[in-house]
Amino acid sequence: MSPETIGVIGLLILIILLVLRMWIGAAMALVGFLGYAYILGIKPAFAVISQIPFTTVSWYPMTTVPLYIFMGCVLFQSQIGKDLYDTAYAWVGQLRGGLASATVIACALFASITGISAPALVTMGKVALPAMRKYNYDDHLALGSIACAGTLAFLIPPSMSLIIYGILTETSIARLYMAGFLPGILMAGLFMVTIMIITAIRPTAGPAGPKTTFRQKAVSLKGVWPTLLLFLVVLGGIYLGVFTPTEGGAVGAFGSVVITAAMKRLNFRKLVDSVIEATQTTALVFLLIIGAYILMKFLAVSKLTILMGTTVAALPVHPMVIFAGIVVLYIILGMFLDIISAVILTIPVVYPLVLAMGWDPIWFGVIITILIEIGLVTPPVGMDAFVLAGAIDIPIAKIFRSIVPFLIAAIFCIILITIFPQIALFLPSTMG
Amino acid sequence: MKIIDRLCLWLGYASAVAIIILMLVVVADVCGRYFFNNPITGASELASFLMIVVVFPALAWTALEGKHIKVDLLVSRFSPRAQAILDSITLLVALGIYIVITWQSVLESMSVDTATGMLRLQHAPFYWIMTVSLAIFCLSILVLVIRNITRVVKR
Repeated sequence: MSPETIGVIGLLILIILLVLRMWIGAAMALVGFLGYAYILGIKPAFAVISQIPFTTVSWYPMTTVPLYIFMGCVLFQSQIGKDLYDTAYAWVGQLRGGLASATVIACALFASITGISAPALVTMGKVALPAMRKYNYDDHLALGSIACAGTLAFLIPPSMSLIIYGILTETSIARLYMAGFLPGILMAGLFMVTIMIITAIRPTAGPAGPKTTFRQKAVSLKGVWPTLLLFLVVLGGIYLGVFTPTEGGAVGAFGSVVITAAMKRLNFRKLVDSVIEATQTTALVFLLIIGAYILMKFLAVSKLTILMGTTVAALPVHPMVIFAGIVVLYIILGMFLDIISAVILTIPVVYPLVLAMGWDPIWFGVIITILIEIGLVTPPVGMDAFVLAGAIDIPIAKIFRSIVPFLIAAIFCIILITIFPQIALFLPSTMG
Repeated sequence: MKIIDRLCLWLGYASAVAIIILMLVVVADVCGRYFFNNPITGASELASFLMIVVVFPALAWTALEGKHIKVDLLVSRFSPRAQAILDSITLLVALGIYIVITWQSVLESMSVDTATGMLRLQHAPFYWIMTVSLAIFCLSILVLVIRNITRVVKR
């Protein structure tokens, strides 16, 4: 059998193991090890698995992963997300659909200091949903805005998925961060336009909230300063080159602890809870990463991914047709996987194709992040939809129905970024 | 089984402490470099090695808490009994690969005698932390298999 055939068989076995509910990390490690052993012999395969766990985990850029996770956990425990909602509410709550728009704004602000979506989803589910229900908002509008805006965490830097993508493809994380920024704002804007359109058609879906005075608005701004400060320190420091994106995780985590402790929002108990949550999340992410690196070794020697890349790139169709195929593939994957697993699982296979097609790796990192975000809130098992459903005890089917208009906005956003790649690439191009 | 639960929990706490130390080391390095023009010698080496303590000891605990990621497409539609049987099988297969990895780590840990460039940190102790943690991770998978089998037999 040719190595390429073995590569195909390996991937098929991997899919079967995943469907049988094996741990993703274990399945990747197993298939990677066996495939490598089959092609090059058992001795080199032993050499691979004796090296990869240690060298991968102790690779300096990896140190950023637990620290960004920890930062997200601390900010969740400190309830800063609630402040953000209160501020956004004071500013736009009095507009038609304003409470839903406030959710989007609060999520976008929260996303600028967290790299994972769960903190925003759980916080907004507990804060924004009761507020919207109080003002008789249509439940679908309320749930859709929370579920979809929560995923902004992955697009607006810092972003866990962009970090992992950057690490796996050895693309500059600082550039990826800057690339995610404008598309994130665009997406948030499109979500708000969606809310305006819905409430223009059906004003009862999102009645205006109570009027606030200018004084109240001004006073409410004090809820934003911790977020703004953290954002400026972390992203500013990275942009100006004071520290690397790798170090940004540590600075951000430390800053979150200091700021929230100074605000008396973080006591020892909450700190312990955040570290424990961060420890377990880190462990599960690295079980995946170790598996992916073993799998990548196998795919490299099978030459399958290179063959696929060159074959697909040589197909006599317009590159956009291939791009559309990838879009569909990722949306489907996002329906079954969480975003980090989806990136880790597919990059070994898809990235060689991206290079063969001559697409900009930074642009592509932004695109797949949006694509998987879409999958995260779609049936049958969109992970974020489940997180939200679990947090507020609402049937999952209701959330799935609620997101449709927002998905249209997200797809429109992808189309815009495809036609105008500058939306993603302008900010990175201004970096030194 | 209780003892293993305890052990995994304490190892998890060790990882949690390591995250805090990791954060402090990197922050001290950044501050030292930016404010005092005096970075900590070998901070990146120390941080890299701390990652071993952050990741591996917590694997077993995370496994026992059922947090490792899997895709649930089909299996949750089966009867609880069938689910337990299938989970036992996939866990045993996973156990197989992690035993091989652990075994290779043991061999590697025994032979490694290098040290890092700046701090002269010995690799071997960190290899052993990884290896012992992996062994306990295998044990935790075994515990999960036993729990699943008890579930099957009970019915």
